[in-house]
Amino acid sequence: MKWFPRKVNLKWILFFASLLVPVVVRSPFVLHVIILLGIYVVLTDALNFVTGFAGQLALGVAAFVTIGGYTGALLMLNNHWGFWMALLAGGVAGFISGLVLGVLSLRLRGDYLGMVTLGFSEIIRIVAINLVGVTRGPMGLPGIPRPQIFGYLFHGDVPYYYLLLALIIFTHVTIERMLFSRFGRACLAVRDDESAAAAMGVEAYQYKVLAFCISSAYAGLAGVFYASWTTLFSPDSFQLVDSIMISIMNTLGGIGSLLGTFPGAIVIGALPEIFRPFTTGAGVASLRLALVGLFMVIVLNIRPQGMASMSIDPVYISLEPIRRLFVREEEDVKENKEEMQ
Amino acid sequence: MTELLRTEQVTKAFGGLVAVNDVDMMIEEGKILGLIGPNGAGKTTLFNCITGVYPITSGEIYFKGERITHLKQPLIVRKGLCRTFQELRIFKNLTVLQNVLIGMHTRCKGNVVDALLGLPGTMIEEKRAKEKAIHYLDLLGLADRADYKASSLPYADQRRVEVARALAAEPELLLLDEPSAGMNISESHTLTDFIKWLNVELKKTILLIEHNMRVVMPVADRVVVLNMGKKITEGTPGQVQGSTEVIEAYLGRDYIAQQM
Repeated sequence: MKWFPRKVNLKWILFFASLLVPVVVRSPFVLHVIILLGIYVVLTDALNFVTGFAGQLALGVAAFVTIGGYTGALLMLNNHWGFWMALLAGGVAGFISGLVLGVLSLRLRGDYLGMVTLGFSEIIRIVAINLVGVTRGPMGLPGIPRPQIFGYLFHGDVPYYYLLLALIIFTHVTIERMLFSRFGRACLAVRDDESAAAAMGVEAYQYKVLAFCISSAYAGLAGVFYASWTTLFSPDSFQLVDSIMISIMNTLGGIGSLLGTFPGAIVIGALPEIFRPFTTGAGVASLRLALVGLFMVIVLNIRPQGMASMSIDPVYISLEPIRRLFVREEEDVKENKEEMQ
Repeated sequence: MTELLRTEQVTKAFGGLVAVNDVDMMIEEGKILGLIGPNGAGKTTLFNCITGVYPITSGEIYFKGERITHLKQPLIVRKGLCRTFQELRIFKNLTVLQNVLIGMHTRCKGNVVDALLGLPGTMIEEKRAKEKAIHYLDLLGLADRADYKASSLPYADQRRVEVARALAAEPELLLLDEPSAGMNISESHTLTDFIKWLNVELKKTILLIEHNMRVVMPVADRVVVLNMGKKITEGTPGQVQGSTEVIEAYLGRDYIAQQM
């Protein structure tokens, strides 16, 4: 009985389960939070690409989300571009700004690179606040149009959920493709030992810059999505705190793991919402973040390498128990014998 | 015999410290050249100069008659020089196979766009690269461990991975930096045979840095001795072993005085 698989790739389970989410989840609030978590997944993937795979400590994801978000929003509002072209433009804007910052800063290592990216993130925020003529400053850009596809106008969270799902799948498929190629291997080598990689002929600096650009492009895409979803984009939409949260998500999920971004982003993103009912009222609001911190300490004590550790192998779930319901054991034994012969 | 690598008056200074001073050296194709000297003699620095890790202060380096003095590392690897490290430097979190595939980096072409598009040409290249990598692992007896994480292998095997990785770059000149570091006597004995095998069977010219005379003396065709950054003598292993300058460099003047 070959028709029933013995194991299944976790990806497929996640995929089919995620298709059903809007059907199962009836509460608009919960769906809203889920979409927010999905954006965090994309951003954690973006960060993981540069930090986990190319080994460069970047702390300024928010900067590229902001750049992408503003690019997309302004093109839609001022130039009346459609959402899809604006989405693409946001990705390109992220890529180019990543290139500019990357070329300038990627000769730095470790903490120093972290500081520069952090600083860049603040500069972008301050520019967005002060460039009132273009960005309307702290008031933000309201009325960002919604996407349209074959005459169907997106409205409400359900279509946005599926759009985001497509974005997540796009992110994961492209990352996986790049990772298991000559390019991805070179990035991993640079992460593990930069000078050894260079001795094998890997142009380490070029690969770091490229990984940084690609990471920023994903962040730019997420920015445009966010702008259209909330219909408002302001300098506060993504700031330093978000960059740090995304770093935490990446660390807890597992730096350099392919699927770890899901548990990382979802658990850390959901915790403040779960604690929300217990911590209402002034003064206790910040307690939520303290609880997130506590959770972090606990997880990193148990699993210092993060929930999914540094694994890029596909995860398989055994289907044996379910298989037994459909396929009798004797049939398997008989089949094995035939195969042996 | 044709010359493969020649250094002319190579000097490398770090500020006031002259680590390599005016070194002339030549390796003939198909030979094994030993590079010995006491600690801090500048052997590894010279290695780094040849492979393009450090820009040299003055002098010239020629490989197959071509000037490679100020080329960047990737270009030098492409020309056919590849090295191993004194302290083990494999990519610990990658599999053994991936390690070897990185050695083939300069021999493949696929870039990011190719990877994203997954064009048939790229797929075929990737498949060929894998087959070749397995071939190199097979040569070193590691084929059955291709999918193991590199750091999970025992130390001696990790050193083999490093050699397989260097071989995968298809170098004509293989630079081995103290391959016997951390090995016991019987292991270094095996290593001697292994270096000979690399030279005879795989037809690699080898530049070998060694501390361990048991390894270098039986395999080297010629030996260059460095001390304090300068070349103090050169010759066959026998000649070098008898040289008073070498004994002085290693054991000090007092030792010679005692012996007399």
